[in-house]
Amino acid sequence: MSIETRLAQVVTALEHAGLPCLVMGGHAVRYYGVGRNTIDFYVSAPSMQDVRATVATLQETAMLTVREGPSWRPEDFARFEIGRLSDGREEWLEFWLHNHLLPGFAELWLRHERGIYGDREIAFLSLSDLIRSKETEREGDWADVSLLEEIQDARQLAQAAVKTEPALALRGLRSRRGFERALGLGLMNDQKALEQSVRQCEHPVSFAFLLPFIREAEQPASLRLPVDEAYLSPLRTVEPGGPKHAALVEVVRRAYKRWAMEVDRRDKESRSHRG
Amino acid sequence: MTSRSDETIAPSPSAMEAEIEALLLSGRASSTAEAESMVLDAHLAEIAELAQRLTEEEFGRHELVRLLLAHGSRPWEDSIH
Repeated sequence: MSIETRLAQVVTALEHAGLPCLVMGGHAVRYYGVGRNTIDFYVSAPSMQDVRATVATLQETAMLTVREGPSWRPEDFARFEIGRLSDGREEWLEFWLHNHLLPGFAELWLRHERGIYGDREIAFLSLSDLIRSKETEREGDWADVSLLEEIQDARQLAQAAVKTEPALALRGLRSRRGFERALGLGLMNDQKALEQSVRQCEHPVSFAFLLPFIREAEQPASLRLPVDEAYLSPLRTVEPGGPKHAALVEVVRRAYKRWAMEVDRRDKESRSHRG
Repeated sequence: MTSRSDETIAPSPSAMEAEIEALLLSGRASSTAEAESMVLDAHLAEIAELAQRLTEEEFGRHELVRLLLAHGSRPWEDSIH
C-alpha cells in the first residue's frame, strides 16, 4: 500500500468515526508538491473531547487499531500508534489541538483546501497555514518553508494574472523565484498595485521585496515582525531588483528565521513545563 | 607533486574562514553549514552596512555577501519548477 493510500485510509476511518480533521505535516507537504518521505500522520482536530470520542469509536468498531502513546505536551497534541510497517517501524497518528503558530481549528477549517490524495478527496491545511506551521526551531522545517514559498508564489502569481489583480501576488511575495517572475511579468511597473501591496504585507520578506520600489513606504502594522531599522535604510536606497536588493532580502529573511526559531523554542519550553 | 614553495604560498584564511573554523573546532557548530549559518547571523547588520558603503561590484565580491547568497533563497538552477 502506498503512503498516500494509507493516509486516505486513516482519514476515512477518522471521518467515519465523526471527526472533522485537516491533514498537516509531511503528507500535506507532499500534497502541495514537495517530495517528502514520511510514515507518520499529523492532523489538526477541533478538541481533545472530539479526539477521545473518535478514538473510542475506532476501538469499538475496529476501523483502526489505536494505542495511546506518550505526549510531552498533552495540552497541545495526543499521539496514538496505529500500526507497524513491514520493517517493524511504528506508525504514529498525532492529533494537534493547539499550535502557537496557527489559529484555532474553526478558522483553519474556513480556509482549508480539499484535493485528491491516495485516490480520495482529503481536507488539508491551507498552503499559507502549512507554511506558518513549519516556522519552528527545527532547521529541516525551514527547507520545507523555502520550497512551499515558491509554490505559493507561483499559485498567487497565476491567480493574480487570472483576476488581473497584481496586488494579490505582490503583497505575499516570499521567494526569490517568485520575485523574479513578478519582475519578468512587469508587475513591478504597476505603481498603484505596489502602493496597495506594500500597505498589506504581513511578512517582512514580502515588505523587503517591495520597499525599494516604494521607498517612502512606512512599515505596515500588519507585519508579523517589523524590519530592523538597520536594514530599512539600505532597502530604501538600493537599486530595485539589483544584487544589493537581493542580498538585503536574504538578510531580512535570516533575521526573521532566527526570531521565529527562538519564539518556537520558547513556546516549546513553556508548554512542556506546563504539561 | 606539491613542492615546499607551493605550501608556503597557500593563502591564509580570511577572518570569516577563521570564524567558521573556530566554531567547528570548539564544537559550537557540528557542520560547516551550521558554522557558516552562525557566522552569517552574527554579521547581518554588517552586510546591510556594506550595501550602503560599497559599490555594486565590491559588494558582490565580498565574502560575506557571497556566503549569504549561497545560503539564501535557492538559486535558479535548483528551483523546483
